[in-house]
Amino acid sequence: MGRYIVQRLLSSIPVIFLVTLISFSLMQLVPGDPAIMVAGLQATPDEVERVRVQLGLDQPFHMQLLHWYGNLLQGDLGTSFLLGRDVLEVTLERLPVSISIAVYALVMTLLVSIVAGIIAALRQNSWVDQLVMTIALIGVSLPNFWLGLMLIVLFSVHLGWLPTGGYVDFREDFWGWLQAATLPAVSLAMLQMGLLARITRSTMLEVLRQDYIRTARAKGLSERKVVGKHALKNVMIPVVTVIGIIFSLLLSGSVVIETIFSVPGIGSLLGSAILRRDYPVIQGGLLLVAAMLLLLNLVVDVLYAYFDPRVRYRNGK
Amino acid sequence: MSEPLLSVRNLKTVFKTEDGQFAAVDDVSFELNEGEVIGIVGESGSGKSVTALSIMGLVPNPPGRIAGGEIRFEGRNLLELPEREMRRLRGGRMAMIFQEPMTSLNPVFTVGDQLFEGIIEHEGVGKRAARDRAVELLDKVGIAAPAERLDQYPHQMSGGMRQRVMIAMALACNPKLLLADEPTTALDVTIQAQILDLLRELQEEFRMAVIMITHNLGVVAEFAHKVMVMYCGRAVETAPVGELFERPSHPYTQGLLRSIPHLDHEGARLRTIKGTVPSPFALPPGCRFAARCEHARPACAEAEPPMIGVVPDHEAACIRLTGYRHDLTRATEPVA
Repeated sequence: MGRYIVQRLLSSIPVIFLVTLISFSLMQLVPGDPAIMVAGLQATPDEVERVRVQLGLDQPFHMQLLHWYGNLLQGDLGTSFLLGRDVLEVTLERLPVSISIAVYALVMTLLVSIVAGIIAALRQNSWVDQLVMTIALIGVSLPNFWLGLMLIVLFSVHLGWLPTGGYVDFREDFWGWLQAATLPAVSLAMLQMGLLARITRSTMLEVLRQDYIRTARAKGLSERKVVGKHALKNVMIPVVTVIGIIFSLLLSGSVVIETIFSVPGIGSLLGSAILRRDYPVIQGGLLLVAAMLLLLNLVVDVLYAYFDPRVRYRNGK
Repeated sequence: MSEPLLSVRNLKTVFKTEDGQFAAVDDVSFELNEGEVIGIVGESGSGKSVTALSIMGLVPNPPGRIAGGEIRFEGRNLLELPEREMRRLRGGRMAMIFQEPMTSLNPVFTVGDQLFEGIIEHEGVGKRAARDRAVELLDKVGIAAPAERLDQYPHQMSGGMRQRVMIAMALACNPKLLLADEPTTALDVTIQAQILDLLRELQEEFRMAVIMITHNLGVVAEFAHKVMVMYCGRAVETAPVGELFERPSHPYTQGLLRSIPHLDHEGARLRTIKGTVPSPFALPPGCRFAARCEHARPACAEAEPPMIGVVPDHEAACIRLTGYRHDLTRATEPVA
């Protein structure tokens, strides 16, 4: 297993390289001049030119690229054009905010949709099943920014239960964090809950038809053991597979949601960095997000081996 | 004579589908004494597996449902037992092995785990005692190095070995009744013989009653004491094994026996029963086999023939038999 993990880590290096290369190239194609953004609209052409040289933007594309990779190898992600601060510092400040909300949304997604999906499958075609599947369909169909706004209207404006936005560090005030993070997390999770509930339901239905479930019943096991042990572990195999994808979608969805809820996370940082052509922040932010998702997928694959022994033995013990 | 171990009376199991409802098992009755082996023979769809699942209380519901009849096992009507009691019997007093060893074991648990849980469930012993028992069982069903095998997963074993594990699982709590649903069909021919030998040894050793479901008359001849032939959800002939082979009395049974290939008839064409099984939704009136029967006559379509005695213990559902036994009051149709 140790060797497998090292292999996976090594193979993620080219992925990181490609991600940063693509984002770097794309930013060159986008119109807009960061030098003007930094110097300000009132600046004279001379001043703009000075800023351009200062930021190294007068260099040809490949030189900029090499320069950036050179610094990266030394662990330097550069300095934000606009904030004037170290990119690594800024992103690492923002990342936990987004991760905490995404993890909250993920836990919510897993708990709600696995339970709902299993109940729906066990009561197939009953009103419970139809209710769950209808809610799931609505969840899949609602755009999350609209849902976020509606949640604010209902829970913050009318009922006054939860704040309209902002963020509280969970290390300082867990209860405050929970209040601030709930609406963004629900807005993010709704789509994923809908999808995962449907996946769980159909997988459960499929598993319950398997011969080994009949064998388990023929042994005289209780229905709770048949479903909770024999069926559940098989259901978890496809569910675990999509956890990685779900988490990455939760993180990437945060760009819009963090803006709506004014959450100071990596999503809103990236969003404003793109609008203002803050190249180093965009590059550094994407790099960190990509690295995190790769790591997460590795964790998922290791988990996968736990649930499915057939995978474990194929990869060597 | 004391009450038989198992007595099935007028069992009717129906399935509801989108095209309507049909009876997969229709008015089937038979008895089984302790230590006795009955072979249930028939084509796919004849209702033999559903009969076994009905006895085990494992008919998938929905779409299936036991609509009538009585199943008495050790003096109690299983159809009236609460689910909790049924669960105690299942895997305890009666056990079942299935056709597909490749898919009948849960792929994500070790073989040992799947063996223990039944033992723990029924005998209320601890994990250590269950493990000892499991080793003993695997040894009994002819698995070498049983202790190591316990920690393996099903995908690390061959089909024959998995079926041995299934048998060990079924025997875990010394059942009085074993239901074997085509236990050798999915296996290689050489393995089939081994598994059959094993089953026969274990049957004798444990003095189990066995319901052997098969479409293979050879298996029946070797293994069973008596036979029930099923066609379209109905029993068409029941007889002691020797009697059935000697004097097959229902045209369907005769057809089955004729369609066994013989090595000594070199170059002879394989004989088949012409026609196909009717759809369960469009069963003909009267005898269900009439359309394929070479002895069919108009009277066959008028009423379903009742079981008619040929000799004691041997019955068949064919109106031709009324021609041999005029004293039968149930047969009203004179033979043309």
